[in-house]
Amino acid sequence: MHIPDGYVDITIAVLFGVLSVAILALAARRVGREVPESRAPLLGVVAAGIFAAQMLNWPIPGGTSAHFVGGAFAAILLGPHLGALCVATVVTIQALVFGDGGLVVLGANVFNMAIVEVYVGYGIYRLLAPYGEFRAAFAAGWLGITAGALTAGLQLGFSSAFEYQLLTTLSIMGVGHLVLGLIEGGITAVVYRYLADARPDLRPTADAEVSLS
Amino acid sequence: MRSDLLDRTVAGIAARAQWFLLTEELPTRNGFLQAVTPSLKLVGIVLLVAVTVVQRELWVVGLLVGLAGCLAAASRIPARTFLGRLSGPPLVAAVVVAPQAVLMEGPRFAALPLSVEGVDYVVTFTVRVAACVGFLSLLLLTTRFSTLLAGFDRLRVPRLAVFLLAITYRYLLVFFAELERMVRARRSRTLTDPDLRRTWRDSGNFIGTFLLRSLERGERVGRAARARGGTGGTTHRPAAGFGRADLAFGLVVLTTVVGVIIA
Repeated sequence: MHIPDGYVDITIAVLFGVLSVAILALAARRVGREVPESRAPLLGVVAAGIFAAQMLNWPIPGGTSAHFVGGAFAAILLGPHLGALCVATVVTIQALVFGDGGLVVLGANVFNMAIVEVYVGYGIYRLLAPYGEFRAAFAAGWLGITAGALTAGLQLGFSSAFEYQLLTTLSIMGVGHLVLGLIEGGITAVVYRYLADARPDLRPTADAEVSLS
Repeated sequence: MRSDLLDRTVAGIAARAQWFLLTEELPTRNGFLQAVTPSLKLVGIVLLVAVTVVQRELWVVGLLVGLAGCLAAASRIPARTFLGRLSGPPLVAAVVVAPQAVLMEGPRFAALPLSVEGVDYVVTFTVRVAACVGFLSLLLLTTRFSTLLAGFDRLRVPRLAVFLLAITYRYLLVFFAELERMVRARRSRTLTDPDLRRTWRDSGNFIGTFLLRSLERGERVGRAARARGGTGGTTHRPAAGFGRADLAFGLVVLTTVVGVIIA
């Protein structure tokens, strides 16, 4: 889902860059009360861990494999604001160290993967958690990544540099990720199940944020 | 877990680690862009990418790819490394927009279903992506991440953001090594190919364990930082004044931006 430079119009890239900065600044302000700067190492190290966890290949039927993305999972584990900051760090490192995605379009990529995917994923998790946390984690991973892909489809569809019509980009990105997102949902759910068994205190529904104390 | 998947994971980690080390080694070479102040280089490269993104003329984006190649040569980036970076994303871009060669209206190439305008669009789009990737690669291959962070500092990027990037970067290799160790250990314990359901359950436990280790390490690092008197952020070397390389790079960027606008 990393959009390289050249696909999206500069006006759209700038608009989403500004939006991302504004939302992440708000997120930083919100977590500032709970998590002072002294907690930043925890966040940075967890971001590195999520980055590395994306390297593991997961088998999918047909002999191919997929990767964990982890936006919704980060939101469930750390809370939405910390999750957004964490995934934004991962996306920025991916662009500025490994060249995944573009430079001018970095704000748009952060918006799709660190804001939409994280907040939508978290919202869905909180909404469905009363009906079963495992199922809620699955839906969060699945629909979170689909929402991020739809936003990418919007950015591409509104760009004159990318000749496909909005309906086409939304259909391809939306339907594609609605299917691929099932894998992300499955991974989110199995990892969540393990963590809920091993460290029940880490569940957002558990009493207070023990892990961050 | 099937061994081919583990092999792919190990190969992926190794490729990332190799690139990681390359981006530490190449910036130490005595080249043109290596001598440019990071903050100026960052702004200059962003400007070059921005003027490339708005271009719709094939000859202009072709010249911009040429400029990226010249800057790579002047910065002593090995041609193989640079071209290797340049080949992947443009190839994907060409595949993505290829249908437009047929879909776009206009005069056709003889008996072929390809339109002249469509082919021009596909080629221009692909070359434009190549130019953008080329400029981004110049930044990655001539700037150590720590100096890039110093550049962010100078550009007044919020301190928390710079610190988060610094600590994540610092722990990447540690986690790559840890993940690789865990994968190898798991492989040595695996005698048969389990079914898909079992593989998924095992992988969930595996990543769960790995993420717990990350979280616990993060808590330890945080406690250690506080014990040393606070996180303090990273200390970057004070920026030196602008030199001849900065002036030359500034002129290159200015000339290109003005030239492209006039064109």
